[in-house]
Amino acid sequence: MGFILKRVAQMVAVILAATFLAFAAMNSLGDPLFNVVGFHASVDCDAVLAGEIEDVSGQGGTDVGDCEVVEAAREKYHLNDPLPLRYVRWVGDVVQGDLGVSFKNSMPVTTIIGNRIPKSIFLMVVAEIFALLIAVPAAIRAAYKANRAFDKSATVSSFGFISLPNFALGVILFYLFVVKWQIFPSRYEDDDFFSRLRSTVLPAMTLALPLAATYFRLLRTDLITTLQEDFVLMAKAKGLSDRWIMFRHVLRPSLFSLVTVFGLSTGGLIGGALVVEQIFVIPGLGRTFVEAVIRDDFPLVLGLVTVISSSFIAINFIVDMFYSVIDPRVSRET
Amino acid sequence: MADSLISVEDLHVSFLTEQGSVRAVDGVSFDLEPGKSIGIVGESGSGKSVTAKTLMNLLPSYAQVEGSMKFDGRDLREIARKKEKHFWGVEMTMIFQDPMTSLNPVKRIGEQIAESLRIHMNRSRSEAMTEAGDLLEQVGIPEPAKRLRQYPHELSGGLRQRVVIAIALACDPRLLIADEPTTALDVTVQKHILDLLDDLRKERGMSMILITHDLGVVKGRTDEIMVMYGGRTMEKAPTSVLFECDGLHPYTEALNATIPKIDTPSHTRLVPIPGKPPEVIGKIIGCPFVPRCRYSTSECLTDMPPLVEQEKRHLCACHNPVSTPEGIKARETNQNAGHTPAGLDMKEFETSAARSDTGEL
Repeated sequence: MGFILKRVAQMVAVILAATFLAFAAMNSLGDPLFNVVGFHASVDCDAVLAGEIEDVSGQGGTDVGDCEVVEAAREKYHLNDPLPLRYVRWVGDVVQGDLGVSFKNSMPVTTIIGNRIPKSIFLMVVAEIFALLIAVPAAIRAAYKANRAFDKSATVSSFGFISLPNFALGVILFYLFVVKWQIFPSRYEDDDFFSRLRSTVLPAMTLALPLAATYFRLLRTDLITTLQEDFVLMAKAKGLSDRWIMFRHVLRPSLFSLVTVFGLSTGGLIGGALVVEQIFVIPGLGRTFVEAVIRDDFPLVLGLVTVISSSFIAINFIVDMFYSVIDPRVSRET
Repeated sequence: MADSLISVEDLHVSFLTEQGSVRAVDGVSFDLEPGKSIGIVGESGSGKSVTAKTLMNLLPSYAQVEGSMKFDGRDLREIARKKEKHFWGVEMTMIFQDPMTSLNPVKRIGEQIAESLRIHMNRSRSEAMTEAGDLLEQVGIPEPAKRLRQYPHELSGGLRQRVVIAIALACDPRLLIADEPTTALDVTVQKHILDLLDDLRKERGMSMILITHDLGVVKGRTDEIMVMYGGRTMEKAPTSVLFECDGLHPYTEALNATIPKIDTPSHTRLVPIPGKPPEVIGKIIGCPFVPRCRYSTSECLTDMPPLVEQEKRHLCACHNPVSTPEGIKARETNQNAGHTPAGLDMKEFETSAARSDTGEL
């Protein structure tokens, strides 16, 4: 139990580090006020208010009135405070469930993310299910008869899917299934579960095929290694069937690499399905993220960083827990 | 012998490799009566493990097997071809050298014993577990109920080998093949395991093939001993007959000299066998032991001696067996020439003999 507490503390520390880095980077690379008061934000208002300079742009741009607005905004967003203090204040809000409002349309960040995250998670889950459904049976079949026809053709095609960039794969699938055969809708439909599933099949496939190829190669190699173990020979001497040996003895100890990469790729998919979201016009987190960064939408970027890094860390925590389920020798206490 | 439990005749096993066909077993024959035991002795590469795996149908598909193997009158290769479900693991079974690796690390001990019972004997899960506990008790494991729920890594090497034995005994086999069952264990544990195997064999009237590189392991344990080298049978005799003369074959004599004896003075040097065991690729001419044998004559280079009864019930495949007139003469000739016809330097033996006299390093 103490172990779990320790892990949770670690996770919180990592999330804090990630969000602080994002917070500091946003503040030093862009100006948070630009979205609120426009170009006035970059004017040295202290000098204007002190009457040292009257018209910075020389075109009647910034006068004392504008600068009062800027000052008010600085006051409102606590921009006169030092960075660490602002970060602590932001964390305090987050803990209370307040991620602020988007600079773009003044909508609460939680509402924006709340709208989009279900689509991203659904896409991720469907993609991972497809990837596993393709990879696991193929790897078992290939490893059972290694270097035979099935193994060789599966290995070659897996190389193909790994090397094909996903925008190419996505466009090919889109052309075939949407444009040519018109099996799947061209727009993202979200009326009920079924229509959502129909809209998700193709983008999920686009994500799943390269993943499946990676999973296939990892699991196949590990299965072949495990099949050389003495305990497999012993199991054969016990007169167990090949099927029993494969599923009851060989599969579980061969899952390590697969589970590790599964965790990493699932975490990456939460906010990283940008290209696929773009091709299939899915209003998911990936697109939102890029738009927010381009627009310097501070609260939205920070909100997304928080959500994505938390999910990434949570998924990999589950994966770590899963190691000790796979292999009892992996002690939870270490 | 009509009442043999297992009868192997002229067994040949070869593996196809890029360098050519490797002959791992080359014309091995033996019979084993119910309840009796035979020890197969030889160093690595002698073909003893391949012989066992052939009997257990555990060879990879690229192995070529010729000859006849009968279990209780039934053709083993026929049983393998029909993929008979309840034969291996039930009628005959095998235990392996390293108990650290021959148990599945991610399955509980209980499951690993119970699964054979469930598959072959049609036991329910709970019946199988109860029997598994009984088996652990029979192989001398304390607190069986606790052990059933443990994983292999929680047990010591000796206990693990006992678990392996319990697994092998689960379906009450008629033949147990033990491939170097104690090689990976501490010396003190070795004797316990060997005694346990002996006792269980006698209790159950089971036959056993005990494979080892250590003549000391089979001495006084098995009913019969077969010494293998280079895939061939070099010598075969009832254990008592073989140890009466410490072996007729030069290889057996050499193996015997590598074992420390309790009655020799301490710091006596053991006599190693010079050279390496052969890798037999293609057809070999003559005796495979020739390069390492100090009894060899020019005849040995070209003719493989047949396995013949040199003395009563004592078979040996050698032109110049130890302590026969031919053997003594061949050794003296080689001694005087300084080397054997195959080019083995006889001085190696003199020096090691001299060292063992002075007891110095």
